[in-house]
Amino acid sequence: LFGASYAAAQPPAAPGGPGFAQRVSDIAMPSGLHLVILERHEAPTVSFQTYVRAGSANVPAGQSGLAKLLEKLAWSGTESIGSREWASEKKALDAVEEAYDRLQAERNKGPKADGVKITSLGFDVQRAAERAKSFAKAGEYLQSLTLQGATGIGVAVSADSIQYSCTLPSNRKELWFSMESQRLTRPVLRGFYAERDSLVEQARTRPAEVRAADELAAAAFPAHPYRNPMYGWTGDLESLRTADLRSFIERYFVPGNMVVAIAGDITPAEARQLAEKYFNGAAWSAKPLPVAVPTVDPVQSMPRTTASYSATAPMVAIGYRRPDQLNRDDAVFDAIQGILAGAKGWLEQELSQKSAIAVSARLQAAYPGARYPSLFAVMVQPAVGRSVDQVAAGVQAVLDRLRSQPVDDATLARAREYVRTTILTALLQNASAATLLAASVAEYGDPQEPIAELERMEKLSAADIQRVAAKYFVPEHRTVAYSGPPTAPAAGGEK
Amino acid sequence: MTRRLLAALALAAGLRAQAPPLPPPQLKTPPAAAPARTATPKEAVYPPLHAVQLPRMASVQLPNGLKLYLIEDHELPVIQGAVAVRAGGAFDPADRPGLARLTLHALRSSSVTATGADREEMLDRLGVRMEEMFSETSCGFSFTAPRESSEEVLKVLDAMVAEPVFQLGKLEVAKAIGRSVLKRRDGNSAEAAMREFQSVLYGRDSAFGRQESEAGIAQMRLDDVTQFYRRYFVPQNTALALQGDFDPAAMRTLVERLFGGWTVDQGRAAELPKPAAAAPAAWVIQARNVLRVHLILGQVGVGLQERDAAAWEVLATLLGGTSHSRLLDKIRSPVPGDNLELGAQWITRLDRAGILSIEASCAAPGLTAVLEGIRNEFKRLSGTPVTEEEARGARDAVLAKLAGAFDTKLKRLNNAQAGEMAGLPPDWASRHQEEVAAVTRADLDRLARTLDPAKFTIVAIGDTEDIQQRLKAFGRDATILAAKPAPGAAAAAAQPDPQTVEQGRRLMARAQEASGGAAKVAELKDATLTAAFEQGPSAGGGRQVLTQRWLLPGHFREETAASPFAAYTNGEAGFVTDGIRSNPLSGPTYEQIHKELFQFYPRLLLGDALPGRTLFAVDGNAVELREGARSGRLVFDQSGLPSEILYEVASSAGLPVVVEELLEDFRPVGGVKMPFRIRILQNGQPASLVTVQELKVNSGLKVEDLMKRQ
Repeated sequence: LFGASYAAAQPPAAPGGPGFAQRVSDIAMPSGLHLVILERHEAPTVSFQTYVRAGSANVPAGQSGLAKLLEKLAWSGTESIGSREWASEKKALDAVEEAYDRLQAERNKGPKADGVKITSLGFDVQRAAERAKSFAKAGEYLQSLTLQGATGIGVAVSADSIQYSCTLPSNRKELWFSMESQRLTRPVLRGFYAERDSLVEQARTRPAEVRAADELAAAAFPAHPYRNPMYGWTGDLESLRTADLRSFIERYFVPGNMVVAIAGDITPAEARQLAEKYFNGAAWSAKPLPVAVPTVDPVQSMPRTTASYSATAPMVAIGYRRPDQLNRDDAVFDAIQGILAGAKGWLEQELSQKSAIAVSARLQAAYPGARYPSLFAVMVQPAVGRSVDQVAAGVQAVLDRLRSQPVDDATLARAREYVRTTILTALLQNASAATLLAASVAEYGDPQEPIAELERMEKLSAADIQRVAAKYFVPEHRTVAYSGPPTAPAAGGEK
Repeated sequence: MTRRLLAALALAAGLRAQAPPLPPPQLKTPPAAAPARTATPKEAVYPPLHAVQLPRMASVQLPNGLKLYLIEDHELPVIQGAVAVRAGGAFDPADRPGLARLTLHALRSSSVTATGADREEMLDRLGVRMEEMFSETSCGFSFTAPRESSEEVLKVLDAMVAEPVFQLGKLEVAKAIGRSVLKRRDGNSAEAAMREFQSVLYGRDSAFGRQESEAGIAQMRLDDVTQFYRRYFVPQNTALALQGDFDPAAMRTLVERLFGGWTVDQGRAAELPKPAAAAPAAWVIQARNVLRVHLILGQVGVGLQERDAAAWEVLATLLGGTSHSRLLDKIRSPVPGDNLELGAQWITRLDRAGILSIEASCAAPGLTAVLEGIRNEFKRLSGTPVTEEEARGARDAVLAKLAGAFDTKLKRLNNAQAGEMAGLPPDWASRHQEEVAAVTRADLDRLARTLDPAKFTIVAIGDTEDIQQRLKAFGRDATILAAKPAPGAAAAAAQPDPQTVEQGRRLMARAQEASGGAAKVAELKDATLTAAFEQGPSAGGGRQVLTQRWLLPGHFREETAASPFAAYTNGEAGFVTDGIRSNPLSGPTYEQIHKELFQFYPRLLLGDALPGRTLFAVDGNAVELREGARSGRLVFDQSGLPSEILYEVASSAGLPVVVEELLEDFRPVGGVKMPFRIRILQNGQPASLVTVQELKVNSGLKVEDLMKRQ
């Protein structure tokens, strides 16, 4: 596979320019890193997407919340960017860890620990962190990019992946390679404990919908790590250490587990040459791939319900078990999303407009991830006075419509156009095209996956939709989670 | 796949907003020495940026005069395009500022079908994204669609642009939305200041300086829109550009078939008035928030093709276009905790001169220091030469921004088309890039010396008298802009005159005739109506069955079948009861009941036969009915039957909402045709549905029946 697809001669210039397929190259580096290039030379900009095949489902037991924390520390810098003086800063950062070790040691004494000593050791950690901060240049990493005209700088963590994006004027492409190579494999985790504590606060104040969704996952996945909330279980997050994150990075940020997609004014030869120049050294050598999550949930054969207290607005999250993204039914779920979701979708129409069961209804075709079997999830904010049972029955009634008869031609067309338009709109812009290409290679092993999905939509039939709905949207595979005030009627009752 | 993409994009968008804010721009030294392998970003020398490639805009002219650009592009199975008409804000009649924009809005919702929502739904179903384009000099629509929808989307464009059917209801909605936009814009100091600034730069009464007003928009009539449309929306004045996955010959045939029948000829459209800079002036405008000041200074510069256009753009960026530019680096607000915002930009216009603008937003007491700071920076700029590093940073920033302005096919297509319309050479974008790259320190120094803040036009929004004094200390006499008269529908409402009253009577008589005869209508004395009211989510959701009873002239009772609640009015006052206790009508219930009474169809049909009513014709085959403070319009269809009740309410945020009640499913009751289904739209969006279950008339109701308290 090495270098195979771009070594071919330039295709002859056809009227109307090269098609998408000819503009895309997938380059496998000897280290296992994949570079996916979408060539567009009409404007001198270039969008980068780095995709790491690891997310909240991959963190070790007792360290939930770790992946989300990576999001907060994404731009904390490197040894050369973000430091006033690296040698002194390194010493100061080590001192923070040593102070924390002492604190940890005292805590580990359990019932015999000295409360006063813990407080005082806690202050030591804070003082050490303050000192380390004095050697740091806050925000220098991001500023180094934005001063060079970078836009669309972003990071996103999901259950399956961690992704970074950035767009630059194309004559700055080398800058990206040089900065990204250091940042990915040798980041300096500045302000780790402050960021960790701010995440704890964020977790405490997370919105009602997230709470209900967390409840849903915890109930629907008895064993698989998809059950872990993005923000972590209480206690886990508070105990995270720099070394935990470091070993996570060492394990998952290895070349064979990453994909870099680049869309815009760059040639495959340039990209490869820059990757060879910067993605080298020990950190970028071929390493064993991390093991996939082996855990398989027991088969669900009865409906499940769960409820939890929250002072926020009541929310109901409902999930139906569905297969992973490589299953042949994956595309049909996307199409069903097109029928159900949105202001004109069946869910809003039925639940909010016709029967007034819900204030709002949202949908996620694969929650919390898609690499492993997951859930087709509906998040509903019930209307005042509506019970969980009424919401669950209302959602089931909408899904039963899909199960009982084939959709009419207009609905089928709407579903197709939803999927097609989403893909085409994304492919038209470099940044979102890079996002799509990175996911295609990382998860489907094929940069042409978006085009394949367009073709699948051509063949999609009403019978496919009915078959998939009938197979998966059954009450036995359903989990209903309620989160809200205890005063809401009949919370958790399944009839 | 799609789900994965959506999730990734949504996450990325959400988190981008959370990304840590940029640190304050004190950081001037280059980053600390880096390991040998990596050049630091600032030290690195970057190769020149590649040229922007605009699509080649070879045009053909159809026999009807329409200019057509076809660009074959097979990268993806999509078609993108834009229809542009040379008719923007500068073409507004002097007494109708805002008419061009309103016409464009009205085109979007013009449709032969009863609701414009149908067209939006169809575009949605076809996967078409369509946007309005509007500037001072042109307007139109741009779109992106899957290849399979090519023909459908072109049909929609043709229907909108070549044969629109303007409807009063849709126009009222467009007006309400236009007024809401203005209201919000007026509430935003930065936007209001920029609008005022451009207005003062060109002169308030000039084609480029006239401003839309809420009252002005409320006054516009269907005739105005129709006339403006007929004057400018002609094929000779229109360009259609299409790019995408099609065969050009086949596409040309398709366009000719669809647009070929559009053969209006109004001769050549009026030439665009030449914009001319007015004398520099200083204006102050009162804001609701007097704690902050929003300030804009600047002047009209040179056109894109003139010498120094690129240098001006670089100079503006050097002054205040990046986080380490001069103004941001040096000026600090003396007010503790003040979130001072400062920036400078060059506003590029393809078809006229660019504008240099310096914007500041600060706490009111900080204005003096900010003005001083700006003056000092200009002094420094003309006194000390620009450094090479500064010049390079500013050039690079301009080039990066330029690259971003061309980074999608649609942006390039729109820019190519706009360049064509402005008479620029086809490679104007890459030429401009070269010019920016070639700007020298000497150019910047030379231009800097010509700048004189004393000759800048100034507009400031905040506490007028305080600003006036501070500007005086700065050496500028500022005029306070007189507060605009309170706008509103009432001020702008059409007034009856003998002619329209007579015309209104005729229309009403025709409606009564079409309903079953004036004699039958005149016999209407009472009515009992039971109907299901279903509300959409925007109105709170829910469904209830209501019974309404009316007795001549203004006795009215409303009650629900499910509860003992009832409300009664005699037209002036009444009560509300829950079956046990009664209270006088007041507040929202009072409003609601009298609104229901006013719109009660059988009563409405009586026209001005009822005492206390005024009736007169308004445009668009409609009459306006007034009763006390209430007013509404009745729109008639071609047969003369009422098809729509139209009135305006205020939203909770105080913004105008146009309510359209579409009357459908007419059935005879007592010899008079009455609507059995009423679809209610609010600002064009479906809000609720009324389905009549039973309607009886002249059943001998007595006042006592209506006044029952249990």
